[in-house]
Amino acid sequence: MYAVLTKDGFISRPYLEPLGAKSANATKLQSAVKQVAALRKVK
Amino acid sequence: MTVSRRQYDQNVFINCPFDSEYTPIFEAIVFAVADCGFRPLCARERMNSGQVGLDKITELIRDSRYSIHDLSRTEPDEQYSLPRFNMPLELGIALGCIRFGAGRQRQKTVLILDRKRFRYHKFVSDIAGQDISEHLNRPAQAVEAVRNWLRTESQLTDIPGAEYIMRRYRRFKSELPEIAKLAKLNHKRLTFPDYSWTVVQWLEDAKRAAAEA
Repeated sequence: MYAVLTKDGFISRPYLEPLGAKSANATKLQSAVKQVAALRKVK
Repeated sequence: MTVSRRQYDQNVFINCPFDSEYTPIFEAIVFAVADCGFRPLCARERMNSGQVGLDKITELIRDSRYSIHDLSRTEPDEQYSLPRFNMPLELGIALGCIRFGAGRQRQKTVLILDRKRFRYHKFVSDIAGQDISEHLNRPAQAVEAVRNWLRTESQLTDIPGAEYIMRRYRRFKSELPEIAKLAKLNHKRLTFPDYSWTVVQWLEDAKRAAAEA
């Protein structure tokens, strides 16, 4: 399979979520990742 | 229940020491596996806990085309003056699948890690001929070894370079305390499901942000 990276060096495919039971804190962590990313943008 | 063929080809079982000294290498390996587009699996439900049944481990090996086995802990422990044999045992199970298994089990590929590349000659010389890499107890070395192995074995053409992965990993590590704090968790005590979930969310978010910039 021939695939290329994005211009920033990321894979074009989606990143793979863990199998099995989802982290009990998944929603909280997802929201926290977004908040920290938003703060990074402001800086 | 076994996983689909597609999931099997995406799964990477990480078989490594549980001690806190190893945690920086473990966390870097998990990040590298995810950043290369694979799914890290680990018997650890918690970063600092120990006992996991052999059934669980054999299931994870069965369900993973790729497995990483770190043999760097060969020293006798302080309590019993005996080395831990779990990692070589689990490597043996994976090698047994390759030799005696059926169908996709024979297509497994293993990466053996140690502190120094040829140290294994002194304690498990029968594995000569396998893919053995050294990490020198450095996360960056481990990331490079894992990345190069996945690139070679998967033949995927979109595996990022080790320097890209490490640059992102350093950013992730610098942001992880704040992420954990906002989620009312301690970044030093994240469970494996919490840690691996956060890695995936962070990578997706970083990719999106880079595309929008």
